[in-house]
Amino acid sequence: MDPATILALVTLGINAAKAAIDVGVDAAPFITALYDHITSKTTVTQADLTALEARIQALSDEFDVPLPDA
Amino acid sequence: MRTKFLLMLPLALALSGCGTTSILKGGSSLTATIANPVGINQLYDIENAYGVVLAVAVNYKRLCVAKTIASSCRGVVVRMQGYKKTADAALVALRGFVNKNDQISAVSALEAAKQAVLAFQNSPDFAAITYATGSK
Repeated sequence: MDPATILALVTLGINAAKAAIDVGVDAAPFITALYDHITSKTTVTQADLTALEARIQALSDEFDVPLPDA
Repeated sequence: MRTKFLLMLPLALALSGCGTTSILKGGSSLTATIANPVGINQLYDIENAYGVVLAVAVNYKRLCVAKTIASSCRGVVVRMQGYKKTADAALVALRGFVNKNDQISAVSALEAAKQAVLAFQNSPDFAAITYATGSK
């Protein structure tokens, strides 16, 4: 992952965490997102990729669920 | 005739690709491998970036469902689901090309996936997550 991408993502995560703290909710999930996905791996195995794609699929499935009625 | 053939052989090998380093580009060996421009490392990077964006979006949606944040979040989530569809399609295409080792298509698919993830990450609605979550 190149430095510019890391910087952009860290900024994103930190801003989201700050916004969460501002409204008094737990900021940890936003930081965990960074911890889970920003990597210094230089050699990726097929198993790494498969595990990552499984995590993304789980997130994707959750995000796709329509919002319940207000 | 034999001399001509021997002179042509390195050129033919260099042009044939086959994962060898071209001697025309100063490769040290005819059999040395070159790294593919798009492989699982590049795919992993873009998927990781997408993972961060998606995780932030999911956490925002959870706050929205729990009614912890302003109700305007509902519109934000719906619009972001649209951006996500584009990013999903681009990533699926990229995965397919990388799996098939279709380098010509993978290069353009990688760029398309990067743009789609960036569009998701840089959308005005995403800014709403990071800057305007407040004031219920």
